[in-house]
Amino acid sequence: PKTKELIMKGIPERYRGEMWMVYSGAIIEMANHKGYYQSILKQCMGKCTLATDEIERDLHRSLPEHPAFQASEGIDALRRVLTAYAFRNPSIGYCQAMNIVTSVLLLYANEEESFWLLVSLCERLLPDYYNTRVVGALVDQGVFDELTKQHLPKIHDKLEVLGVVRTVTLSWFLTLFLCSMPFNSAVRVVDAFFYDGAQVVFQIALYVLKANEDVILKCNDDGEAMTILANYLNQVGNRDINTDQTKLLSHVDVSDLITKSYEHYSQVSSEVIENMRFRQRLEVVQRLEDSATRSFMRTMQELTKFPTDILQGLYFLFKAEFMKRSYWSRCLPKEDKTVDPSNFILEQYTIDYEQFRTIFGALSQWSKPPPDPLLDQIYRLCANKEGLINFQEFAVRLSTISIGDHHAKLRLLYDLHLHPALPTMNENAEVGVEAMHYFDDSDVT
Amino acid sequence: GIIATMTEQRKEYLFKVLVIGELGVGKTSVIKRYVHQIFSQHYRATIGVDFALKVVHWDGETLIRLQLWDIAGQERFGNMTRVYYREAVGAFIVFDATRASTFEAVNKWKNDLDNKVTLPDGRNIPTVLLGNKIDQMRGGLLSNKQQMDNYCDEKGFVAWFETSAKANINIDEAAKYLIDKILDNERSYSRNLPDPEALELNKDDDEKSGCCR
Repeated sequence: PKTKELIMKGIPERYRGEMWMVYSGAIIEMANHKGYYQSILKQCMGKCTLATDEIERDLHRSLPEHPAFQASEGIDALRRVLTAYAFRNPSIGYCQAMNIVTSVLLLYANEEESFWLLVSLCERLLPDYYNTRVVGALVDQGVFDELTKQHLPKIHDKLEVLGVVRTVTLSWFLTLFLCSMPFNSAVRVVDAFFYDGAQVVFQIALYVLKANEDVILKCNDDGEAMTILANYLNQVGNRDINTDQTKLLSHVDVSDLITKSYEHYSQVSSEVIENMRFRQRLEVVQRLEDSATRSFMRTMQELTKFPTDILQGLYFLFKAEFMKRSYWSRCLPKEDKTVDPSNFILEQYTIDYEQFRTIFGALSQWSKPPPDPLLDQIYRLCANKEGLINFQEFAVRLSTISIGDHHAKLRLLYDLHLHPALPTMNENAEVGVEAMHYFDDSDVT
Repeated sequence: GIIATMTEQRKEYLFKVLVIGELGVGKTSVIKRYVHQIFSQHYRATIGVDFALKVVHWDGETLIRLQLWDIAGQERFGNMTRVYYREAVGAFIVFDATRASTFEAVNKWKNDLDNKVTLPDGRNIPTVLLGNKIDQMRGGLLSNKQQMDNYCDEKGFVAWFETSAKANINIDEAAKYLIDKILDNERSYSRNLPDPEALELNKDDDEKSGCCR
């Protein structure tokens, strides 16, 4: 209770870092992993990856108004912590919003401490929030939607009509209000967050909607509602910091905001949220899978020119074959590590030689059954190093054979004869080069 | 409502315009320049989505309220774009003229856009391509105008501009061009809008033809 009171009133500036370390548990992690941060730094600094490229672009766009991040000292520290984390955890790498949170951590804790605070944030306190598909944040969007429906039904209905506004809360969750409220106020939310966990963010978010209920209900469009919420949060002041400006501007004090949020939504406990997350998670993952499949199908349609229904049929057939193999041979789907969902589908579902012979042979319209050497050659042309064929290779060849024009068919036949049958350069290959020119030229005309 | 309110001679429109493109190409800067006539090195990375409103006095009779939606560029937020794109009538796709990779991604953004939002008549929304940070260019990626024109034709952009939010180059011009296209579309709807009786007739026809339910 004493600590709670302290949290409500605000942790004194100089104890803030220490308190964050204690309440997040980061202090234990750090003690158990002496020298880890330094050694990881040694391994990763100087390497160039997509993550380091994105980190570099965001270093000056984290807390640009703060003097600490207008000098190279602060920027370098931020770069090191973010890069070390991306290296530690490739399933997250770097996600925008981590830069903003980390820069605030660095203001109150040293570099190594900030690293461990970030670890506790990404891996325990905000589970899956920053991963390659921000699944955790999407799950909590769903949870928040459900909570709004329960506690603020009128606003919920209104937001449903307005649409986009529902997504503004995403940045509240991803940055713990750091990108919506003035810094001195948001840091108080961070205090409460480290003490009580994610429930605080839900409670405050609900209260912010409630406090603006009347105006939101009168809004004509989503832009208007966005502006109202942005202005409200932007004016949350901190009366302990005595600047005339904040006193003049703010009509809401952050201590009051936090207190009232706790009072009004005390029943939104971490158990309640955990239960809701469990339900939302299935939906979110399903939705992501659906949308990935949709965009994958669009790409495939462009490549193969098959009509939608045929393509879908093919895909289900293909996936069913994959499942059969996974079932019998216990080869589980690969873990999701790619960022691009279309690639993800490509890499996940594959078929082997026997399966290819069965379904491609049955579907081919060239002759029934197609001669073995032909099937073998197509297989060799399509298969990857592990001898597996993905859906794209499969569908593209099938489309050439079934609906391609004469030119495409000839070209495929040619490739089939050229490809691994003649692995080394010899006279035939030279003839082949000429033929290649012939095809390339006719491509142009 | 505010949308296309007609008084005796004044017309008011509300247009939703998207600003999309890769991380760090200057989307926020373009918007701030256009809306507030300012530039700063100190903008935060946009998380999720941001919003700005500009009221444009187009001509004596037309007032336009332009909603500019600033959408985060990092790929992992791409799952959410469908919601953001809803009901947009125009878009800017921005790339950084000093970084080729951001231009290569333009195609991806254009496809995403065309797949997820269309005008009520099914056409793609008018989209203008902006090559930003042109103040940092010597010579230029855009020196080959013919090539850029061809690219825009092929990919379905209505126009392209070299811009600089920092040096205030071509931002207003690009916006004017896009608004003009949006207004053209808007006017063509109001011309083609069938009168209520015709609607009734169509409805009857549908029922007679007995589509399966």
